[in-house]
Amino acid sequence: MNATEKTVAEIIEDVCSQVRVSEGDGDTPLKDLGVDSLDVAGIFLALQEKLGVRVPDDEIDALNTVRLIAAYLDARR
Amino acid sequence: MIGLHAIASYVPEGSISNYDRREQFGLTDEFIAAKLGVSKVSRMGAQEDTAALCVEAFRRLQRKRPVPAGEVDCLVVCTQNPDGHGIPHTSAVVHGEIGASERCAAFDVSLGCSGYVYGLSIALAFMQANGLRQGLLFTADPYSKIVDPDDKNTALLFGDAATVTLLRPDGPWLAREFLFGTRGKEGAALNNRAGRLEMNGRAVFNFSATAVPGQVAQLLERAGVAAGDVDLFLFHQGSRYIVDTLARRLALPAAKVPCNLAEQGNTVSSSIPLLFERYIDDPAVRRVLMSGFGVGLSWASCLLER
Repeated sequence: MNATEKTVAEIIEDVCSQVRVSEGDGDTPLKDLGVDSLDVAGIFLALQEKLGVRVPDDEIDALNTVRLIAAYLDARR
Repeated sequence: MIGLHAIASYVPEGSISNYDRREQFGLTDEFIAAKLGVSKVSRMGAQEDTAALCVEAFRRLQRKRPVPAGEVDCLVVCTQNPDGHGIPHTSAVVHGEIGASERCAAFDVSLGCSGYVYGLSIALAFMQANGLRQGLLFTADPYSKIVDPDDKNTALLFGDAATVTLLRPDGPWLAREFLFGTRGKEGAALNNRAGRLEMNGRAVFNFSATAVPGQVAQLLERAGVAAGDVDLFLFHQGSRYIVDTLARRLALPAAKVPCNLAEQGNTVSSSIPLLFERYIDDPAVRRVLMSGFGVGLSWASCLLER
């Protein structure tokens, strides 16, 4: 994982206390990691607060892996 | 000083189980229990309306602390789903039903989830200013009147209930500080569009998770009270997830942040008094912080002590 991906993984683990993201989970769908729809709101709020990037509502559903989220954030910072 | 003397509540027996809707909405048991925190949402009967819920709450108050209706001189109802179309005001309907005297002031307050904290401030100040001695603050916002049963965002959360808080000079709980906030530009996140409730869950979550902790911290600072010296933090019971999020963001121990959503759901302005009813007579609880947030967007917090 690159630096942004690690940051995303850390935030997911922080917001979802029951979820663990390992090195090989970059392309694993968030749902398969145990992230539910309410967690997603918490994750994107935490990312916005830490990295200053707000993801519009209609783009969130497509960002369903750590790698996709990180790439989106890197492209807008 | 006027203080809070007693709280009584009425949660209708009718309900819809969220476990019976697992398939319809693609829910897991864990999501229902750990995230929504709502096992079932309460539903008033076909013959009941907002004022009827209030009247039943008043009957239950009579069993706890008998209050002659003729001695009530202030009657406030907080609701955004009044009887009929709001004329006459629901507080007047309740006034008539319980047989209060003609010298009793009665008015409605239109607020959602911040309504109880606002209602306390309004009723206490109104009573103090006008020399009134016995007040009833009702909350009743039966969202079943506007919830679309097929809307996953709202149908699993909102339940019907009413509460009544007795305010009088010998009430042991005194309000010490209040803070209020409004973000009208984002009000569309939770609205009634032609009789159907709409909620942008993400927008309401973001608002709640950021605005409330800031106001709570500001309130504690203004009062010169450390979070550790507050016995209970009574947050509006929006969902288990938002209550847990607020506790985490404020670094509060779970034991100080009770949650009672399971048996009725989010009851809007009734959620905080419904929760406080459990503790109002507990001698071990002497200082509570309440915070309501939602429709408006509006949020309000207060510190109560005895």
